[in-house]
Amino acid sequence: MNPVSTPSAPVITHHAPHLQPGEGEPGTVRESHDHHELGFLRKYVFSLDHKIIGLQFLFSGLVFLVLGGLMAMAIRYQLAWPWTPMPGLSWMFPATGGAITPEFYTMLFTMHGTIMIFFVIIPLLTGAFGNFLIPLMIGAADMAFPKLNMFGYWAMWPAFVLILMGFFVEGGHAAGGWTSYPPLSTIESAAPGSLSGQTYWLMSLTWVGVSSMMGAVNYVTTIVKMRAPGMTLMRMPLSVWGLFIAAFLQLFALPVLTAASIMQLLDRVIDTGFFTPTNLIVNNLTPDSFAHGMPAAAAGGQPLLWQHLFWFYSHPAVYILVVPAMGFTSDILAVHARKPIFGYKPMVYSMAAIAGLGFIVWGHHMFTSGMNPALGMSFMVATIMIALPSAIKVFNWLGTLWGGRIRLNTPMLFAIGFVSMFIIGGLSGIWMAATPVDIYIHDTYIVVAHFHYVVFAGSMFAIFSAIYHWYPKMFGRVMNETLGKIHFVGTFIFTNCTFYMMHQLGVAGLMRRTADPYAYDVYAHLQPLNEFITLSAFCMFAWQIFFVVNFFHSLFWGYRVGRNPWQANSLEWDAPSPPGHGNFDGPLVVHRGPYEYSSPEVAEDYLPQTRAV
Amino acid sequence: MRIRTRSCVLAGLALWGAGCQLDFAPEPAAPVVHYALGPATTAVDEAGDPVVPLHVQEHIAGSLGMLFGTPSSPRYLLTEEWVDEGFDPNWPTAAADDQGSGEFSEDELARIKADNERDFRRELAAIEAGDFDAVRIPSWMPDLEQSWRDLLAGKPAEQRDDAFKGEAKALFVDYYPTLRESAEHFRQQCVHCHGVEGGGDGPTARFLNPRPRDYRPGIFKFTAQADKSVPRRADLYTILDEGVTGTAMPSFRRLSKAELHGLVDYVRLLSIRGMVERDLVTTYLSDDALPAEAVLESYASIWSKWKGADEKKTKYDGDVPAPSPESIERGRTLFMDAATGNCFSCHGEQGRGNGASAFTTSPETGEVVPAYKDDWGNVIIPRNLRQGIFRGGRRPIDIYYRIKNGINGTPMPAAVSSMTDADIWALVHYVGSLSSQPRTRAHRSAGHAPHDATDPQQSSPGQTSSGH
Amino acid sequence: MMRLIAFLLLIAVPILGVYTFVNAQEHNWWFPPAYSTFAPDIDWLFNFIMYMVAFTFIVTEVALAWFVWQYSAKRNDKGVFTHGSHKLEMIWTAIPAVALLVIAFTQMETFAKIKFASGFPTDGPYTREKPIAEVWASQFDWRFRYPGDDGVLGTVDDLESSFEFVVPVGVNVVFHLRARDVIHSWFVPEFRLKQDALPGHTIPVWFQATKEGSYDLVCAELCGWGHYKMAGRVRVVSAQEFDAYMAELKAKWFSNGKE
Repeated sequence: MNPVSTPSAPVITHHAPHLQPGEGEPGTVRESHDHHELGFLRKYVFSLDHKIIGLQFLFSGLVFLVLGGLMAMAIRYQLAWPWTPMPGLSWMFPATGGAITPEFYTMLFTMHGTIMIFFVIIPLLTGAFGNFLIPLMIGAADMAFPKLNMFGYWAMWPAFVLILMGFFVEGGHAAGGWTSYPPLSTIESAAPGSLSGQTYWLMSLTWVGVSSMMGAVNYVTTIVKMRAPGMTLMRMPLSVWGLFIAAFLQLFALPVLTAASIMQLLDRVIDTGFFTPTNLIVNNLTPDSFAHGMPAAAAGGQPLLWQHLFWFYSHPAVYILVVPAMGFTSDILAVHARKPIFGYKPMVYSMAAIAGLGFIVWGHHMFTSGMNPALGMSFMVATIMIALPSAIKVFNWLGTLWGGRIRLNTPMLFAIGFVSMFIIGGLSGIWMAATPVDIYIHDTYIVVAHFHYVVFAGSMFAIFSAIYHWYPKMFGRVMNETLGKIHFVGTFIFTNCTFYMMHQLGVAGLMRRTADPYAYDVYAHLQPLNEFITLSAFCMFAWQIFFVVNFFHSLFWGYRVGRNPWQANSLEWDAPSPPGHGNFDGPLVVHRGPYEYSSPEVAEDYLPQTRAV
Repeated sequence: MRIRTRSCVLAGLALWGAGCQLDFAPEPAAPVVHYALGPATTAVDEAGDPVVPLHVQEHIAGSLGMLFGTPSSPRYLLTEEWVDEGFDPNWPTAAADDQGSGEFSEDELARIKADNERDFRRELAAIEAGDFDAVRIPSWMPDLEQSWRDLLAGKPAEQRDDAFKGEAKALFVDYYPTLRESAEHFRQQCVHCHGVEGGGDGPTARFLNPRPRDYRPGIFKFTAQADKSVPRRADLYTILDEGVTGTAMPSFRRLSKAELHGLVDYVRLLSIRGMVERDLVTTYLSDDALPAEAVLESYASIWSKWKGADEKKTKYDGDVPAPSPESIERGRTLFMDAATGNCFSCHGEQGRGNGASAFTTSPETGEVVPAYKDDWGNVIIPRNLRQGIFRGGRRPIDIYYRIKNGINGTPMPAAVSSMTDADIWALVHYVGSLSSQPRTRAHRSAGHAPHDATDPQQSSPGQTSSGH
Repeated sequence: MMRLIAFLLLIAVPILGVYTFVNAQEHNWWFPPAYSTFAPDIDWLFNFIMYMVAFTFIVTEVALAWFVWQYSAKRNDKGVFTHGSHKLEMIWTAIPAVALLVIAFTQMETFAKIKFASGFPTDGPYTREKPIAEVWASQFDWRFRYPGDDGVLGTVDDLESSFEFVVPVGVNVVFHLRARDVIHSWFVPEFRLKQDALPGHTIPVWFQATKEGSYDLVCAELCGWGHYKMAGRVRVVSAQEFDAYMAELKAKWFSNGKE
């Protein structure tokens, strides 16, 4: 059987009635000429197929999402009702009557941040969707380096193992914050989590870095070299552009983090003292004391050096977290608004501008760190200007919706949610960038509100949107719309209840990372607000059950759909659902950009990139 | 599009189940902690049999429960003599012959009240404004909360006049925590280091250096007490109020004076409890029996030690002399003199805490290891006097106490009797000069102490990082 | 149905978002009072950004909600076929760029005043070279070391206090911030002043308190498990009371232990 891409009858329908049970052909594997049956292990575990690798990233990312989410719930519980027996965890703390200990709390938020950033959002965006979408969207049969790709995923497994092992070592997991500022993180006596948990953390992160590097090399090569005939750079979907730019960010920034974490690892393991100043007295120990023979550690290092190196990667990493999400949103908005993306080139340029400026703004994390204040001034200007490309993107998304024929299905709702939430997250960033204001709000809950609006309400919404949108392509079945809409409404409401109120906490001066804010008089009145946030967060977490049920239910019992259930233009919808080995039925020729919706050239309201007119 | 009822029902069921599992109640569950027996009581011999038979252990546990209550309702048992005298240590603010232990002077009580007014200023303002719902009582004050609710329940909202407001304010201004409240406060703020029984063995304790204090032997290091006596309230209060610099014990002055005094009460209860427990074990091991009278006798005798602590305070009536080059030089001589000060043998000739006798060569590994352990069994090294960190306080009089009385529970001995006050002051001056005497630039560049960057004397903003 | 729900959800964002901020003061979920000379400037800059941001926020969110409502109606024709507009792109690049530059440049003076060496007071009793005290942060407490009679820090007559930092009102106060072990951060919400304490560095910091009272001193940089209990207090007193306090501190320091 060799189904070809046949556009359905030119009927313009707006509310997705085309998702009928049994419609279209089931996703069939192309009988390719070099076809040979692979065993289960080769096909699903040590697969070289970019789609399977993408799904592997997707599933492991979702598992870690649950873990990181549970940690967030524990954090929220402690903030609402500090030092009371924590449901589900109280058995671990008989000595305190079930209340968690403060070092456990520091571990919780450290690992929540680490897991959500390095094990959920980055792998989901670049690992899962990067792998799955790039070859399909540019019309390639696979990645440029399939084995490197497989290695990229399996390099995550040492990271998974190490990050989980860290929870079971003496002193618990790393507890220096996800930013791991030395000397807290490098000197073993400084915190229980710095005994050995931090070492696991660093090793794990190094492996994540290796994995991301493999991916980035692969994405860039694939996009540069393996585009289908006619697929010029300026005909690529914005998702691919987003992933392309994110891959460049990783290529240039990641080596710095890898070097920095190896330096910190050396500081910890062989006491090199890159980040350790002289003559500290930490927990009654002097690491570089000459008192008893040889000093235990070299010193003369600089704690600020780590902050520069770390943020040199981790600020661009924030854009790695959001630029692909912007790309997905652009695609999904255009498809479901049945309208060409407004200002394709400005969109591309603004993404590139965000990435470029992203390299010269890391200092805004350090305005109060003791860095030269004049340096802070220059970082401020760069940081404030980075709001400009973000603003351009928002206006263009609005322009895309204007005059569209919007189909309000679940992926579209989440994409619109992304735009709405990204506006909040982006605008509150201007406060962070303004140096004098940042003196006050640095490390307060405004910062927490800001990056959760960008990373949860932004990137995570985009990921939900992308899962709903590309699920038919991944599994040949479509997710349930009703459940999806229920999922969206609850998530949208509770996300805002949770994170919007954090702005108020921040304006009131509440700083982050405190196990018990009410130890301070000035914050004592904020407990009711924290209780509200906690209850909202619990509801938001519980609400995700609709997604989980929908995801697994649809995996087995969802409606089967054909190749192009959304009537979209880009190349992946030309392939069978799910695409077989080699992706496409045959050679493709690309005739136009991916956003020719409602084109007057044809009767129907979409015009696939491959169709010659 | 049709609604997939099956999916919705499934999801609804799952959500309902999750809702049942999670504790959504805004009132969190009550914590449960119990007192356990100390290591001396539950020790086992080589064969693994308990040194103190299990039924005796039960007897001890029962006795302690009778004498001191439980963590959720700690209270002292009143002996017959105390009842006759009207003495009640459960209530330290009342006079000693009026159902209290009379431990506070009128001045101190006035200070506590004044501090309550500061601490409860929001509550008092809310009462003044008639906004009774805005009064928020911290979770570690269950008894106050009960009294407050009773007060509100006694008067309907429309009858709450100025007299009622006065009564309500008095409740807060006169607040002094009960032992039960202090125990809950202790659980929230202290227990993760100091442990439920005050054994210095909470979950965080094993990561701390030095280890948190174990109250149970009744030994406290930083006091003004002579003869290794138990501390006075004031000594314990100072530790809570000032913190112990150079350790993980912070200053708790963010709490009100009443709360701090309440915590002192509770620490004392834990300490007395631990001392009685050890005493009972000793009694049993020597007499092979533990009659009920012995329990009460031990209780009374240990209490009398604490009651009599005030008499053991080191008295110094003269002025604190100012340091002079001569006194510093004299202190140095004493410091290096094996017959009098003999400080250098542990603290080292330069005061760096690296004296020869404080270290030994491990026979197994051949490494130089600390030679001493303190009374709690922790390895201990002498203070590096050049760091300027003095845990018991950096004031001259604090260092005077350390030298004069030694440090209870550690190898630091009391001054030999031949040392006069003037000698001790000379040592105080010398020790103080080690961390603060301005050394010349030439001295420093000669490479004597290149790694002393955090020595406090280098406080010039030479290495300012926000310079521009 | 979904169209209405989506519209209501999206329009609720700007309405409730603005309402929350308007309502915040009533619930005391807003700035603590501003009690340093530069605190009103910071508040003003915050509000300045907030109003500019609020305008953009309302316009874009309302537009988003409106577009979703307007263009999700059931219709049987095609959408508007446009790939963008160069003119519009220019407009919405230029206007935000100007606005952002305005924001950036209005910040500079205040920041320079607070953090630059050139912004430090030179005329009062305390200067960068001659601070009122040295503030030591360590796990997990604050200590304050005043120079004694000789006016020089690091000598044997230094006076030390824990927890409470007493400073005179209405005077430019400069102190040296130091850390003994890990990074800490000095934060007094009422003064809008935050500065990390870096081990190995001495960082001069200045402020001028404008109102007498006691203010919480908060550690704002994660410093270990006890971070949450690393509290201190800044007590601002009149000049006479400050002199009395220094005398009291000195008396306590050189006390002979009699009570």
